[in-house]
Amino acid sequence: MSESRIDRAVNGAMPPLHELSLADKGEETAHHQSQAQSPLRMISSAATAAKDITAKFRAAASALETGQLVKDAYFTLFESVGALEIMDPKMDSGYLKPGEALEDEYDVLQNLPPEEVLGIMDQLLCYEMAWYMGNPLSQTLFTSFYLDRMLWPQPKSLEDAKFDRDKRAAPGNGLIHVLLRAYCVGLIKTCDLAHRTIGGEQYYEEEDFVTNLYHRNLLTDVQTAEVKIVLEEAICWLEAEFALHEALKTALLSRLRFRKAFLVALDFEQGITDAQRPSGWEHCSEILPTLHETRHLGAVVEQSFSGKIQRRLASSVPPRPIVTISFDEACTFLGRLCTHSKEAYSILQYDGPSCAMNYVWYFQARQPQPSVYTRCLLQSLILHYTIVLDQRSIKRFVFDSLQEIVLPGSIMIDPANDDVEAPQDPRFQIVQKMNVFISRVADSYFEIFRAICMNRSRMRRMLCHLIIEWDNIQLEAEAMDTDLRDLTKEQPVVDPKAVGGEIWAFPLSSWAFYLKLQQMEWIVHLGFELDIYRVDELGGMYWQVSSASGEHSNPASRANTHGKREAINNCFTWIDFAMLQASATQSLADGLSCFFAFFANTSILPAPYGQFPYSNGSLRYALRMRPFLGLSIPEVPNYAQFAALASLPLADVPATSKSATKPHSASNNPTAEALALLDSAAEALRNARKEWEAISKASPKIARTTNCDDWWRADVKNVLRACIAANIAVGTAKKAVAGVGKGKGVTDVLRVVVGAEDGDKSKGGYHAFWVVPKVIAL
Amino acid sequence: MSHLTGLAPSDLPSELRFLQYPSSKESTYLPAIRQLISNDLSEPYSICVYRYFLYQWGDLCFMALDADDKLIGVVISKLEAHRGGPMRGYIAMLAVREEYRGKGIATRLVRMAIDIMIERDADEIALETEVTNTAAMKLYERLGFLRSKRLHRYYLNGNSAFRFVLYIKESAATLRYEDYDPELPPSA
Repeated sequence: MSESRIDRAVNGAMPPLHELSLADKGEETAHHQSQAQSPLRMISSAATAAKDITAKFRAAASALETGQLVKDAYFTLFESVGALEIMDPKMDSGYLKPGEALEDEYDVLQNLPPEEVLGIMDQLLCYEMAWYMGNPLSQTLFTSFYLDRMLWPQPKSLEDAKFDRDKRAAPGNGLIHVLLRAYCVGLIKTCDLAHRTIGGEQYYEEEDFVTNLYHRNLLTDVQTAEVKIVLEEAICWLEAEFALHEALKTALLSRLRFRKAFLVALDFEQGITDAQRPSGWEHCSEILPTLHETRHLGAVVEQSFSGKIQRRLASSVPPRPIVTISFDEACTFLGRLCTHSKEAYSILQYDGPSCAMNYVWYFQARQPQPSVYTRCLLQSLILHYTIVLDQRSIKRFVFDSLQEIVLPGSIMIDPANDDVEAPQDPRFQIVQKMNVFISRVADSYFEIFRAICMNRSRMRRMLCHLIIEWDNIQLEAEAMDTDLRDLTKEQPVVDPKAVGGEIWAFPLSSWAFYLKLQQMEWIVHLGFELDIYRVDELGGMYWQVSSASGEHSNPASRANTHGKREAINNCFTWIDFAMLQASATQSLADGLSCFFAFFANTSILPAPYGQFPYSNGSLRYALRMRPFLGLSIPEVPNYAQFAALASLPLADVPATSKSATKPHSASNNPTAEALALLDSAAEALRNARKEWEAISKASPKIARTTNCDDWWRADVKNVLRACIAANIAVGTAKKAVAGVGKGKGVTDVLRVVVGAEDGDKSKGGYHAFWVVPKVIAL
Repeated sequence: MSHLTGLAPSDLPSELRFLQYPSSKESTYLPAIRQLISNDLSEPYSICVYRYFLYQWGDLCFMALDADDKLIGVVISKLEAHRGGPMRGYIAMLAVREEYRGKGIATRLVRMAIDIMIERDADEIALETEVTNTAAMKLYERLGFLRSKRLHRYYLNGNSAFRFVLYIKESAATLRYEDYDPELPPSA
C-alpha cells in the first residue's frame, strides 16, 4: 500500500493537476487508500471547465516510442535532473512500504524527565549547527516534532508559539512548557536572525547555505526583546525549582543562558557595528564549556525527531537522510563561530583600506575557514548600506586607498576640493572628474572585498571574473589620467631612456594595475591551495607567480611625488615594503620554478612530457592561462615563449628534436643547463629566505596589519619555514647530483616526493601556497 | 555528474564487446545501465535524466558487454554549444562493474565517446568528478584533461568536485562565454 506524490499534489493547491491524476485511474499499483479528500476531486469554478482527456492522452502517447523524449527547447538538463519518479522509494518522499505509517507518532505534550529535556536541547543544538554548516532545515532542525508543532500552522504571535496549540488544558510539565518551549523559541528566533544576516549578503545557495524555510516563518515578526523575556522567565522558573538535582539544574540553566547569549549576539537591533557586539560573542564563548562538560547528563530522545516530517515540508524533493553530527562536533563548530564572529569586529579598527584588505585576507586564510555566517557578518561590517567600516563614505574609502598606493597628499584627492564652488576652478573640475572615476570603480573595488569573503573555491572563481573588469578599469583610468594632467599641472619626470623622453605618473591606472596584479597572484596562489595544479604544472605556475610579482615594480614605482610631506613619507615606506614583498614573492617563486624545472629536465618527477592521445602542451597551457588570456596587460606569452621562460621542456616533443631545454633520460648525466637551473634555484631561494626574514621584522604599521598582525605574522612564519625547507631540499639535491656518473644516473642518486601529490598538505606542507618538494638522497 | 571507476590500462578482457548504445533497444539496456550507475548513488537520477542524454545523444553512449551480454561498463555523454560559445562535449556518467575495474575498460569507453565528439567538431570536453575519486582523476589526467576549478560542496553528500577540461582546439581558449557555473545540478 502506498501513497504517491500525485495524491499529495492533488490534495494540495496545484490546480491543473487534476487532469494529470486521471492517468492513475484504474492503475492497480497505486492504492489511494488515504486521505479524506478524493484524489480525483474535480476542480471547478466559473472560469474553468473540467474535461476528461484520458482517451486523447492515451492515444497521443501510443504514437511515441519507448524512450522517446518530447520536450521543448527550454527543457534542459536542469529540469531533467529535477524530475522525480513516483513510486520509487529513493525519489518519492510520499512512498510507503507495505504497512508503513505515513507519519511517525510522537506526543510532544508528554511529561519528560529533566535528563530527556536536556538531551533534546543538545540534539537540537547539533541540528542547529548542521544547518549553519550548510545543510537544509528539512534534514536538520525541522526533523524535530517540537519545532514542527511550534511552527505549523504558523503561530500568529509569540504566545501562539507553544506545543499545546489546540488544547485548552494541556498536560505536560513545566520542563516542557516553560523550559523546552523557551529554548525552542530562542532557537527559532536566533535562526531567524542568522537567516537574515546571511540572506542579506553574498553566499552560494546549497554550497554555503540553504535558505529554504519550507513555508515556515521563523518568528520573524516577533521582537528579539520579547523572546529574551521568555528566556529570562524560564531561567527564573528554573532557579526556583528546588526539586531538581543540582547538576541537572546547572546543566539546564547553562543551556538557557547560552540561548539568551546567542540570541543577543546575533541581534543587530542596536546597529550592526554597536560596540557591545564583540562582548556578546565573548559571553557565548564563556558559557560553552559548561555545555560541553555537562553533555553526559542528557538522555537522547531519538523518537522526538523524524525524517518523515520532510514529507510535509516539500513534496518535490526526494527524501533525504537526517544530517547527524556529534555534540562534540557541534560544540567545536559553535566555539569557532563565536570566536570568529567576535574577531570579525576587529576589522572596524580602521587603519586604511590596505589594512582592511589584509584583515579580510588573513581572517579568511585560517583553516578551517570561518563559516558562512561569519563571512556574511564580515561583509556587513565592511559595507553597511553606504557606510564603510562604520566610519567612511565609499568615496573617502576609495580615496584613502588611492592615497596609500599612488597619490600621497595629491590635489586629486584633497577633501578641500569639495568646498570649491567656482566652476572654472581646476579643483572644482577635478572633483567632477574624480566623482566619475569613483562611480566607475566603487562597485568593483568592493567586489574585491566581497570575493575574498567567499569560500575558497568561489574566491578563485570570482577573482577570475573580476580581473577582467579590473583590466577594463585600468584602460579607462589611463584615459582619465591623461585627462587630469592639465588640471593637476602634472610635470613629467624627464628620462632620456623612457619612450618620448618623459615619464608620467598615471596614478589612477597604476592603482588599478596594482589591484589587478594582486588578484592575479591570488588566483594562482589559490590554485595551489585548492589542488588545481598537477605536480608537473607546479614549475610553470611558480614561473607565473614570479612573473606577476615582477610586474609590481611597474605601478608602485610611479607614485606621485607632488604632495604633502607626511603623506608621501607614509606612501614611500609602504612602497618600500610592497616592493620588498613583491621581490620576496618573486624570489621564492623563481627558486621553486627553477627547482621544479630541474626535475622536469632530468625526468626525476614523473613528467607528462610524453604524448597525450588528445592533448598537447600548447592546449594544456591555453587552458591553464585562460583566466589571464583576456587581459590587455600583462600580456600572456605563447606556449613556446612560456616554455623557454620557465625553462621547461616542450611537452609532446620527442626528446630527439629541438626544444627549449632537452629532457634527459635518467641514465644520462644532467646537462649543464639542468645543473644551472639547480644553481639558479639555490640562489633565488637564498634570497627568498633573506627577504622573507626582512619581511617578518616589519612593524604592523609598515606591513599594514595593525588589526590582524598575529595572523599575518603566523602566515609569514609559515612562508619562512617553506623557504628554509626549500633551501635544504636544494642543498640535498646539489650534493646528491655531485654523485652522478660511474654508471649512476640522476634518478639513482635522488628521489623526489611532492606532498600535494597524495592530497595531504599536512605532510611536509608548510604553507598552502608554497609547495616544497622533498628530496631524498639515495 | 558521477564517475565511478577504477583503472589501470592493462589488458582488456578479450571476451568484452564494446558497442554504441542502440536507441531502439532501450528496454534491453536501460534498466541495466540505471542499475549499474545508481549502485553507488545515494539519490538516483530519474529516468528523465537518462532519457535526456540517451534520446538526444544515444550515439555518444558506449557500453561494454561480456560474452553473455551482461553490462560491464557504460559511459553517457552529450555534445552541444555551451552557452552560445564553444562546442562542448560533456561526460556525464561513467561506471564499470566493480570486479572489472582496473582493466582499462573505463578508458576505452571514454575514448570511444571522445573520438566521436572530435569527429563532430568538439572544441572542448568537460566533466566533474569527486575530489576523492583518485581513480577517475588519474584516468582523465592520462588522457590530457586538466583540473580547471574546484566546486565547493558540489555533491549532495557535501563533497567537493573538480571540473576537468580538455581542449581539443586552440580556439577553445579564446571563445568567450560564461563558464563560471556548474554545468549540471549534481546528484549523489
